[in-house]
Amino acid sequence: MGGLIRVAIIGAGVVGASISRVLSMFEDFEVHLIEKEADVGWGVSKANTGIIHAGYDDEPDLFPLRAKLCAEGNLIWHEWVKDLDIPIRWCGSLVLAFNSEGEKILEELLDRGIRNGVPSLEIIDREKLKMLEPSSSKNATAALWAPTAGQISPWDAVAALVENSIANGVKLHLSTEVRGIKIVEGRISGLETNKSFLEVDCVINAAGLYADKISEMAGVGGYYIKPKKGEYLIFDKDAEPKVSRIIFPTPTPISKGVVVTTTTDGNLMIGPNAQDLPQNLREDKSNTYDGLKFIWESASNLVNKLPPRNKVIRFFAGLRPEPSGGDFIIRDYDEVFGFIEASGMRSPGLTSAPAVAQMILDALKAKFDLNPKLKAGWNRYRRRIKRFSEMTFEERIKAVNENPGYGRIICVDELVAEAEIVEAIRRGATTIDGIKFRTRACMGTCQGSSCTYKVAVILARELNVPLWSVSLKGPGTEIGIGDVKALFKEKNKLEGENQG
Amino acid sequence: MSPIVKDDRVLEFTCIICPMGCRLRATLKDGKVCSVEGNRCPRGIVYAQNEVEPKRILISVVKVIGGNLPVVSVKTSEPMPKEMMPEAMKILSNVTVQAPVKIGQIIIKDFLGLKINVIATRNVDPVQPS
Amino acid sequence: MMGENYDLAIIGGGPSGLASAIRAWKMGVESIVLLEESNFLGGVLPQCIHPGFGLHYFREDLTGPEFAAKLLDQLKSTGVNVLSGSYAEHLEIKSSGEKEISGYMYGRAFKVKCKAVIYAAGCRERSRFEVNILGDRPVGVYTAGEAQTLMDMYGVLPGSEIVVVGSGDVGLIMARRFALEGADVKAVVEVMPYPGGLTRNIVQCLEDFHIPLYLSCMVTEIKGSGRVEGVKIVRVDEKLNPINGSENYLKCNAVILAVGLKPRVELLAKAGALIDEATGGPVVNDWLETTIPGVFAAGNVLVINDLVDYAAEQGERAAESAAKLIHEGLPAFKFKRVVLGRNVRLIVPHLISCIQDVTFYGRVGKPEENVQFRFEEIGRAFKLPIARPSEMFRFKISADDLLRLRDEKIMVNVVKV
Repeated sequence: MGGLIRVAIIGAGVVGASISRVLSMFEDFEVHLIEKEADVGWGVSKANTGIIHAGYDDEPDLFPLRAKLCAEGNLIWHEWVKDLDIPIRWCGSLVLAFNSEGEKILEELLDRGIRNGVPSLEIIDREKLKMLEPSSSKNATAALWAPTAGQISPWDAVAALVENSIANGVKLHLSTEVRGIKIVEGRISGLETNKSFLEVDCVINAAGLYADKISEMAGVGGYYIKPKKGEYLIFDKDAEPKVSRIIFPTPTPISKGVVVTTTTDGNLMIGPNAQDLPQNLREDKSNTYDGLKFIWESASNLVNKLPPRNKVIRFFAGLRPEPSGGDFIIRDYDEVFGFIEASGMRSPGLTSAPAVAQMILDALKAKFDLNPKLKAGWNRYRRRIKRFSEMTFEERIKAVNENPGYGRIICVDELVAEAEIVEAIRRGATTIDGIKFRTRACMGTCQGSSCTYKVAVILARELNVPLWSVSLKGPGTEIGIGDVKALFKEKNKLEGENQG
Repeated sequence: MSPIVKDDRVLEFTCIICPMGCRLRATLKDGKVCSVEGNRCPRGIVYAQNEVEPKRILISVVKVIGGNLPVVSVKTSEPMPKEMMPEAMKILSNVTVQAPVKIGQIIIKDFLGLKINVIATRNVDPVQPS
Repeated sequence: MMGENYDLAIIGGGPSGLASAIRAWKMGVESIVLLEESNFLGGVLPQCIHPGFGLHYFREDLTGPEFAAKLLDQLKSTGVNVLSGSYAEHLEIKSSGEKEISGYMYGRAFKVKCKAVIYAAGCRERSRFEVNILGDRPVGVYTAGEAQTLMDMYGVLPGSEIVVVGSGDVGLIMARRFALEGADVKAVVEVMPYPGGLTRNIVQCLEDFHIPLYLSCMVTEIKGSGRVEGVKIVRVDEKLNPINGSENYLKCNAVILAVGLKPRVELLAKAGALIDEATGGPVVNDWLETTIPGVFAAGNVLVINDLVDYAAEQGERAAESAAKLIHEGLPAFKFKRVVLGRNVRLIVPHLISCIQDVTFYGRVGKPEENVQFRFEEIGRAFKLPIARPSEMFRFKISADDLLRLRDEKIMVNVVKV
């Protein structure tokens, strides 16, 4: 095989972005990262618990890929977060048991963890549990302590992976929806999208909730994706009590259960529940009364006390792509050369993503008979936008002196400066949500009621578009339906036509 | 002005003179209030008489070219007949003014032939060359 | 880094902050700095383009921007140093009693040292999450203030089919604004059995435009994921619990939330001021001084006002106190407590010295007709034909009356007569 191998990765979530980062290291690939949304990481990656699991959950005999890739992924993330400056707290996780039955399950988890190669697992008694997590429920009798688990910011992770990929030559195609896959004589020859036709030799299916649809386009697959909804509640930063570890209940065969954790930004978060949705509801991210109630009650069992309900600043829901077979789907096909699956990435998909990427690279090597060459100029590093809120006082003064826009605070709750927003736009944000996830503007107590318009004004100025056409999350979500006289303009036009 | 058509309606509205908010029922004879029910004080009668042909201050914004803001807030200098508001809004939708706009500046003189003006209620400065 | 010394620093350039700056200057305070977070002065006034402002304060019916312009005119003739676009992050009280405010503005960090502070940072609007409106997060959900700013400052129309949640004055006024610009305002939805706004606004904002007001109704869910498609509405019983089977659906493409305001007390609370749960603002004495000596509060951060005139009045009051503190010092006092009695939900000030006239501002808990506000311990009472939670009460009691107070507290009761 001579020349560059042109690869299209469908889906710029954490899986697709991890793959693109790994492929961007080598001279052998021309990589296209295809995303239907207006920004990266807006599907499954946007709304989940953000846990880098230790790797004891998955039964290796039943779900060999999940079991293997989770433990491996955890190791790789330890390196990647340093390379890419991704916010993370390596705080460890605790699985609580409340009785002897639960303690038996802890033993099973421990045994499974050891089989999966998870280091430093330990079953601890009430005394040590109290020491590790003073807020944990008094009713817990024992816990499984997994010090290698961590809490990551999933959208920061995707942004970091994509920025680093782009810096190393990957081409990102946003708002680009795949409509068809062209196959000539059993080989991938290109992608039909809403924008153009892209000639490629290889398609990697990391399309998350829509992966089964993509496989169908290639005439392969034989699996389907079930959307599973998980809801969450987030507390204000000043809400007490806080937890410093990730706290799980004793798992059931169906779910790891509702978690109590603190996000990398310092907000207490509880969730998720797990609600199976019909296959056609792949965009249903609505919260439900019952769901929120269930989360509240479940979380209450894990800690001595939750903060008061009026300290909740928001709730949200995310969808997880549950594959029909249960395990991740990572494979290629003899009948369509060049089509590779990286799908069915339900939990622990976020943790496993870097290991999945490694596996995809191996698959490409085998398929295309490659011995890929590392790029001479490959840049392993990426630095995130300097956050005013995280700077020391001296750093802030320096930042303001160097860039006066650091002195203009746009989001008061989260202390986000105009300079950060402008930098987020420079790095590719074109929407209010794009700014929000990159900078945390609008994520505080007021949930954007005081700063959304300020962000929109900056976007309109920097992108040189009318303010009303600035969007929340891409085409069709403009903040206005037109300028303030738009409805009269319409009426006047209609009347004019009627008279003419 | 004498009514052209015979106007013997019965009007109902809420008095807003004080916080009591009396529900008034005014009976008209030839367009004039001849009796008022529901009022708890004499001020209700005066209010009812004025509400036969209700007048309101109209507020809106009109477009500005070359300003630091794209619109300027405006109001009518005096209350205008309520039923003329839709027509008034239609006219304002086609008005554009050039910055600078000064507070109190007349945007439209003798609006709708009512001998009242539409005036700006804020300053809009010319856009700063950045 | 800039460090400056002043006698008085005012945080917040809205109506109460501006009024306090002007008043303090007139009282002979010569070195004043006014810190305003936004790039323009006036707080919410510039976005409130409707009339109804200033009837008490200027004896004139003004729109918001006009009210602001009048204050700014007066400010111009003072020597108050205005720092616009400046964000105050910390308020520190030195052991000497000196206050230090530090923060940032375009191009620099600042540090201001002063003898007295008037905190007039206003309030923020409550979000949909604080009233548990479920659903996805489509575009088209705005707080009333946001919608006002977008429409009347920046010329953006947020939607053409509108549902307003909350019948407070802002909600009613926005319903009219949308109707005027040609939008179809489907309804104003109010969870309480009575409207939250002034009768005048019910008449001139809703009745004038035939906009339905749904009382005892609650928006439970917003439909749509890209743009708002509609809202689910349910009727509630006397305990505000949803009534089964009363669900209804209203199609719309924008939802305007006017579901309450919260004083922005974060900076004060961080500095150690005691916060009153009833008002959400700081506990103050009759100098409008918080529990931090030399730090005063005025306007909506003190108590949510329904008239800008009251906010300005409180600003003046705080300025007079600050001037006294700066010139001669405030006398030390053992304050007496003001206690909430029957059907009184909140009241300020919380503490009184009984040596000066006091203006009380407060709200009742539920509407009642023909009531008396009784200050039993001093034998004073005020009659009102109607008391509504939506309409703030304001009573002035003279020092002579208050001197009669023998107890350690004074209780305010609303009694039916």
